Amino acid sequence: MRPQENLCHVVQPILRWGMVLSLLLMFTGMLMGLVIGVEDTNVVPLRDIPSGMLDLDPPAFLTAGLVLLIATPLARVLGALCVFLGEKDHKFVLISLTVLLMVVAAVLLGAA
Amino acid sequence: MDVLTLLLIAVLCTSAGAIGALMGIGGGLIIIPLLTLGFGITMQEAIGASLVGVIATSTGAATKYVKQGLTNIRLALFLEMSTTAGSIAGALVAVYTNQVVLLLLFSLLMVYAGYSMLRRTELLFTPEDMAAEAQIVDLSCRYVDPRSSCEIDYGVGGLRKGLAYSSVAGMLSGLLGVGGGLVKVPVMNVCMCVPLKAAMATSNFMIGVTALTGAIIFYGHGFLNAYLCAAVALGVFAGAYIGTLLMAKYSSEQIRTAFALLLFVVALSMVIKAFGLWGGA
Repeated sequence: MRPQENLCHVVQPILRWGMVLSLLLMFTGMLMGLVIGVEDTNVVPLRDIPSGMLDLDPPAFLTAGLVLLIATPLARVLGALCVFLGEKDHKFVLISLTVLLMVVAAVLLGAA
Repeated sequence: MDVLTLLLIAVLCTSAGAIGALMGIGGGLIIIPLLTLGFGITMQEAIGASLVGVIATSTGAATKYVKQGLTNIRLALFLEMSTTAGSIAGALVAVYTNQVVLLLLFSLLMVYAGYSMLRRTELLFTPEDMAAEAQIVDLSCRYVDPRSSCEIDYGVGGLRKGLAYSSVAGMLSGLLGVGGGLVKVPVMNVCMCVPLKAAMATSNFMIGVTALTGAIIFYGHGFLNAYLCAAVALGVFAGAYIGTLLMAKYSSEQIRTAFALLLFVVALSMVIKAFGLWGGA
């Protein structure tokens, strides 16, 4: 049996900080929406997030939180991949790469 | 959408988060009908919000489950390969299939899975028992049961079967938009001899990765409603935390019965949907 400690030490902080930061951003966006009023409800494109946040635009904060949340599953696979690379666990390097490839393929197929 | 509605949605979504985190399922089964039937939100916006909710369930609960060692990360990645492949295949052929037949097949599968879960009590194999399987890929793991504080070492078997069934699970979720966790948990528990709580936590870890694809596509097309998604995510996060507490409170056998009942209820709702009596599920 192989211990999972190394994996947990890398993956757990990714999950926790992903959750905490996205919660903070979404909560801020919600509060600002409460004060300013809920008008535009659509998500903001990735490149407009920084300028939107500087303009104190609530959807920009909400979108930043959502993007961060959506990124956590990707980050956990990448984190695991780094651990496997460090442990020279070739089988699982291959397995994590396959998962990442499948995700990319699915996104490309869906976007087409 | 006014503030009160958003607040109500967040509060109601805690139930989806709690059940999802406890059972290792996404909660889309609860979120989508809740939003479409309860609040008259369009199907597209509801699906987008539900994808975000699934990721929130997964991330929120996995924070705790990974720490407890309940999540078997290697097993999750191993099965995720075939699940994503299956879901791509499913999405590609979805247009050519008959939804009514699929729904009926899926409900039959749910009833069978529920029956096998009920018939079986926890079967545990030590890593040594599964040494032959571990030659292919070693997925054995150790966790501390949050209820009894017992340390449990277990081996994982049935690798080929597990891969085959999770590709079917992925395909069905690609075809019907539901059913990832509902199939993964019985597959891991019944076919691969993974202890129930570990199977649920591992499934919880996987559904986040499965929902990721859909969420990226929806975001790319601008189909996500920022306020709605954030309300769902905030509610689900709170619920997921409650779910992890429930996992520590109840025994595997109690959760097993509840899961089997859930499978039967979902099967019934699928049959009803197949005959066009209800627009939800």
